Amino acid sequence: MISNLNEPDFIFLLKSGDTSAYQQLITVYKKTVYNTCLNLLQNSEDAEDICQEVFVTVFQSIHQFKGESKLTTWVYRIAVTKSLDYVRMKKRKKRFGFMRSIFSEESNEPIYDRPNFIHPGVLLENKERTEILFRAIDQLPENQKTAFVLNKLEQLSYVEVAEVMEVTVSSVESLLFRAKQNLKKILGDYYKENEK
Amino acid sequence: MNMESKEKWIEETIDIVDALSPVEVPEGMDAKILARFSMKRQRMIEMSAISKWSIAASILLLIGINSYSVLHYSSEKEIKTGESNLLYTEYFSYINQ
Repeated sequence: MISNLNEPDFIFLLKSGDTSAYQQLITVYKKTVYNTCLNLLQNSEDAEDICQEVFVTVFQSIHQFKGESKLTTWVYRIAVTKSLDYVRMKKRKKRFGFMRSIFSEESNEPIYDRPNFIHPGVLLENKERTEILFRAIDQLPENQKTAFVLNKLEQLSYVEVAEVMEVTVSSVESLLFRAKQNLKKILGDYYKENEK
Repeated sequence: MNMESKEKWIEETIDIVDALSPVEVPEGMDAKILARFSMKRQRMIEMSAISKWSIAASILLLIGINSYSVLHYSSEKEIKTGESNLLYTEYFSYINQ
């Protein structure tokens, strides 16, 4: 918990605009938020930018927080939403750039493509395989990717994932099962292609 | 045998997530967040001042347009009513004859 305050008192301080409460919130949650963003965005610079945006949104909309869920859940929810919005925006830009390159005569403009991501927290011997795994995670449908990242990388329980994603626990179980099946298929195809 | 090694490779690759350690946040993140927040808040204050004046100007403009059209319309109606009365008297003048 945040210093020796209980959560309602801390939220009250945040709502009243207490700067030291803001600072404390950043100290407590920055690692969680940054890692969630990093795992979903798979890019350190984007993760840093979105992490800042998440905290700004938290401060700006703390008045709307009704306390129906835990503060942690709410912060996670904002981090996930912001990251997924950013991914969608980048994909849209990429699609638009591709369309432009088809229709415009000057097709010299480079199309943005995400470079291969190597997780900074990986052991040296696993570097190559982590890159392959993250490429596979990136190919998963949005909700499967979110459930997988929150459960396997952020170590959240099924109940916590369900609260963040606002779905039932059985939905989370099903999402994780399908995510694993899809990952096995994607990795299997990769293995087959690179076997020879 | 080949199938076995493929399955093993897939399982091992997926299990890598268990060995990943959380990443440290880049330095100066706290200051960057607070600076971004105060910048946005400042912009919102400026925006609210601008929007306050815009709303006031819009209301004035709306009142102006409304009063002009009400005054203009009523004087125009008066003329028209006068014209129609004249026409009416002229047309039915034979009755009085």
